[in-house]
Amino acid sequence: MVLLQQSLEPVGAATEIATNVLVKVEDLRKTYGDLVAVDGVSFEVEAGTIFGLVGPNGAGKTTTVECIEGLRNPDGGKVRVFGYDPGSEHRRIYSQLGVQLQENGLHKNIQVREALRLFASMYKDPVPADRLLNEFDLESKAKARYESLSGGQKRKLQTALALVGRPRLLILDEPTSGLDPQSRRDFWTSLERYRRSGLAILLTTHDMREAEDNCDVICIVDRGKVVTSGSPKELLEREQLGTRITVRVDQGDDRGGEATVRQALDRLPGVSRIEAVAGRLHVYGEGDDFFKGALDILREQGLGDMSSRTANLEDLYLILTGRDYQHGETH
Amino acid sequence: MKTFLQLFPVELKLFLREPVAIFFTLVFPFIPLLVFGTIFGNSDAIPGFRVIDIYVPAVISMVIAYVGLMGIPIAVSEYREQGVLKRFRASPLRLSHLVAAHIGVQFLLLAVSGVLLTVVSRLIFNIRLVVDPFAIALTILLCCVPIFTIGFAVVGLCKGPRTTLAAGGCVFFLMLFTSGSAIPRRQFPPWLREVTDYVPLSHVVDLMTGVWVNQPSPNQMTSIVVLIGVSLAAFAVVMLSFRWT
Repeated sequence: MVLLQQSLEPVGAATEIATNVLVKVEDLRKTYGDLVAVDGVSFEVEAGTIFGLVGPNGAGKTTTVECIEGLRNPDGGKVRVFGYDPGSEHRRIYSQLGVQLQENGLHKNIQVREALRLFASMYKDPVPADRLLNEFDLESKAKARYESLSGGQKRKLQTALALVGRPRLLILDEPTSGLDPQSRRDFWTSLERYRRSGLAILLTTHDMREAEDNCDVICIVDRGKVVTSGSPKELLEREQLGTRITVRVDQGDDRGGEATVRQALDRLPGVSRIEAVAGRLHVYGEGDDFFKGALDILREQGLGDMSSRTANLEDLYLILTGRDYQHGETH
Repeated sequence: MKTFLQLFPVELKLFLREPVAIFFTLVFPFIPLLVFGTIFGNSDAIPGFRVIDIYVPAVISMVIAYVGLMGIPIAVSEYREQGVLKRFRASPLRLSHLVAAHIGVQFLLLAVSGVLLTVVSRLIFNIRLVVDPFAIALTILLCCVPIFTIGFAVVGLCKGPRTTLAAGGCVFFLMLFTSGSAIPRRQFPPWLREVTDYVPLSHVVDLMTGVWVNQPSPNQMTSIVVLIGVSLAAFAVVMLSFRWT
């Protein structure tokens, strides 16, 4: 569970472990020159949950996780991992923390198995390299050099490296970018198994739908701020979005124009929201009356170019930020 | 320690997969040795020794300079650029262990290079060998300190691997031709000899040559003091400028 805007009480290692809160972020701030990358972000990650930090590129996800990983020093706020400060108590947290960075960061000439063995040697009771090779479908690449791997294989190897030390906490930055659909499914299946074994998993993704389907808790960030957070189900129920009907409309207030259509729909029972984005109207609502009524009105207006689907978190993002969700992903 | 033992062979393998580095440490030194040895090798250098007899320590100095001023700086700079250092910072590994393993590999290669140069010179030019192997090994180790520290200062002052390559290359070639490691300083006019007394690598060559012929040069203490001073100054630059990421 995420508890936002909690009271600022002193943080100690003992209380953290007792409450199963492995990561605690309070009012985190980080600026680069004039750019405010993270602007007062707070959340907590508990054991046994997959926590998704979701948002478009440039939302501040990577900066946030890099502050948690102790790779960047926050300008303000407080970060605790297992109750320790990741900046000054780096070595205390890394015996139980597995990390996958967004960039790749292995020597181009290192072989896959060599990398796994090297990382294994850093921990007391590591997972055998061959078991991870098998789990991440990299057996045939065991002797391949890192630079010869595909983007997806590099991602898989980095995930395996994050898991090799049997961590209590896993932090993965964009773990599924560059993976093909089958690898994505395998990844989430594998992650679910680790979650059930009690790991806390904090990951970032720009893919809202993927997060909605796979994360227990989602924290949507945008322009350095938390937009909303909670379980995907909670979030969608909170706004009563139900079904979304999208229709292409004309400008102006003639028949079929945006203003006229909006006016007609406003009177329909069951409509929870209407959002206009780039020449289209998204109409949200619940119930059979809503769906049938809305289609009738739209036909009356002479509009035929429409589609409908169940509302998802991208719609929530649109409603909370007033902007269409842009993946902007080029990986 | 477990990690260090794992790191060392990995670093060694990574080095052996890098053809350029192998060429410069293990192959290139033979070019000046063979060319210079064939042309000038038989003339007298100092009483009892021909030019070729005392050329091996000069060539080893060249390898130290290459490794310290170009090899390690380029590797560390690439590690930084490619995010390798960042990746290791996000692990229980200490970055100092990584660098220690990397330097350890370079020492091993210096040893191999030194032995090969000695053996080949002995076989081809029948050089006079009076050197105490332990004394020369110790001298090589000590001479690496100032040169490697200058190398880390170069990494600290340069942004990316390209600038590091350019800056390290400038320092390397400047020192190579002015220190007596390529052309013996005995051949220099007196004024140039005086000027090149200020080149740190000159003192490396002088010290090594003294140990090589078992006759410490009269300026040995000066050389040692200069090299300690250079180490401290370069170390100060490293402390001020070097960033892991």
